[in-house]
Amino acid sequence: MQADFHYYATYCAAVLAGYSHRDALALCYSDQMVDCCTKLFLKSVSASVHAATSQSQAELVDMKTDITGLQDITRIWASFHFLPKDLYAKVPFSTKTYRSKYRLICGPNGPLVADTVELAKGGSLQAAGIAMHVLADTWAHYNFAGTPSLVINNTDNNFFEITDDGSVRPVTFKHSPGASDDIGNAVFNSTLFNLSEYSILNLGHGHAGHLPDYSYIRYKYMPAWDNYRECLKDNPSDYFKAFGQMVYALKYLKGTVGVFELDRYDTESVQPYENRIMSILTKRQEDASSDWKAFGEELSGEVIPDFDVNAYVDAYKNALPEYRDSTFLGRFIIAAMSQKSMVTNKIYKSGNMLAGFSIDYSKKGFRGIRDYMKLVKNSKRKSA
Amino acid sequence: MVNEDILKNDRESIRFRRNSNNLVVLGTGVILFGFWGIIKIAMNFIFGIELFTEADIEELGEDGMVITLIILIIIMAVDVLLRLHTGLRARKEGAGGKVSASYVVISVFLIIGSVLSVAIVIESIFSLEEDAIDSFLSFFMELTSLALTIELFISAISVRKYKKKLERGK
Repeated sequence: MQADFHYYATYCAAVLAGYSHRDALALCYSDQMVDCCTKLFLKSVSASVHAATSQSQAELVDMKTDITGLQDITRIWASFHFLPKDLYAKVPFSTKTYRSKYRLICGPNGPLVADTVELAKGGSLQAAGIAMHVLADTWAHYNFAGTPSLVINNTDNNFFEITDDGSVRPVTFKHSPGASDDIGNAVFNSTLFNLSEYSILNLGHGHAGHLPDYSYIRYKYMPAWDNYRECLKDNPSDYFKAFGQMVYALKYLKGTVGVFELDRYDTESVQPYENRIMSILTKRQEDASSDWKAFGEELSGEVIPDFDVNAYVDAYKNALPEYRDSTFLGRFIIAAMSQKSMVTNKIYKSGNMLAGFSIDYSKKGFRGIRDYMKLVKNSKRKSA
Repeated sequence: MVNEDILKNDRESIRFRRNSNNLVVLGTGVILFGFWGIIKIAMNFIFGIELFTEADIEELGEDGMVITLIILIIIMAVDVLLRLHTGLRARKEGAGGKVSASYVVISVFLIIGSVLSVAIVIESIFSLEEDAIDSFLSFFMELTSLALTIELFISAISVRKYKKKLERGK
């Protein structure tokens, strides 16, 4: 998903869930920030790089794909963009290595989605925003894994767009970095085929280009892991479900509904706007920001400012060190570490080492992992 | 909402896609094995291993050796060309292109050739004419080549059958 959904659509969902304009802005800002909080950004504000929620292309190219490098990549991408659906999925006749990768395949309505929402419950608006990003991406990115793997993330020429009249037309992929997609002729940019299993070119949905991120497109293709079965991706329908689930989750986080259950969507608040939302989702365009923005402004009657990655940087940098964690960006960083820590822990506990080690410091005593010292201090502060 | 009927996930379609992919991979393999013979000869020259034994030289004479060498080169060239033809056509068919059935027919000859090669290597193992390690390596290479070509043949038949069925259904 892109800023159109992560920023503007999240704002709309927050308003429909009953959040004020101010809170909805904080929420959608945090949601979109997940795509911008790279190590480079964190270094620029002198914050811990371990709170990174994304990696720029330049960072990925620079990344070593040795064991620790792969674990670092997996922690970031599996925690925030490709939340695994089933960490205990059964894969008959497979090696442990393959099984570990298979179990990181992203999908909606997995137990980790509930864990993510529960983690944000009672937390900051920034935590809620991060949770919405993770939740929404499970709909856009399903069938791909947040770890470099050719055997999981590869796709082939068997890729067809399903047009409005139900006919299919072949999708063509080109590999020119920086070039824009030609959505009229179904020519899209994708990452170059690389035979190396652990190449960063095999991370996530790179081989399917930006198709999972476009709300209008419907397509069928053959995921590398699904034994030559075709898979249907109906983005407008999936995005609509994501929107409904976001409204429901936000109502839970706000306390309007008592429980968060998987596979439940807020139809009540969304239904009056279904036609409007579907018209945005099915409109053939690369970026639906202006449509979502107009819809959001109609809903709240307020002006939605454009997303500015540096909006809260000065407040963070100018705050005294002991108060930094209380600033907007500080709360975002704590929430990001918390999410990353939770997902890494769940992956590790499932017997999967792809995201690295994770220890429960409350049980065995904290051994001084620098990454999450800030998190430990914060939880101590909370309990004090 | 898009109807899931648009997906072709019946057993035949899945088998077709698997076999098409096989054709691309096996086609590449058949081409590479075509160069195996050339690599073998090249290795002989590089490492100074005589192509003919002293007994062969005595038996054939100088003219006979030249003729044998020419025949050997012709056979190898034909083998490479046939394998190139088969491999490239198989790859094209696997990628969804339309090709004639000639490569399927040629693959039958390649299978027969591979069976003969395997038989010759087995004979050389038992006759202890050549170095045992060389013979065993050759045996496994020839056996792999044979298995590859047989699988290519089976995949090609299956893919073409499916395509014909689709054409009849139109």
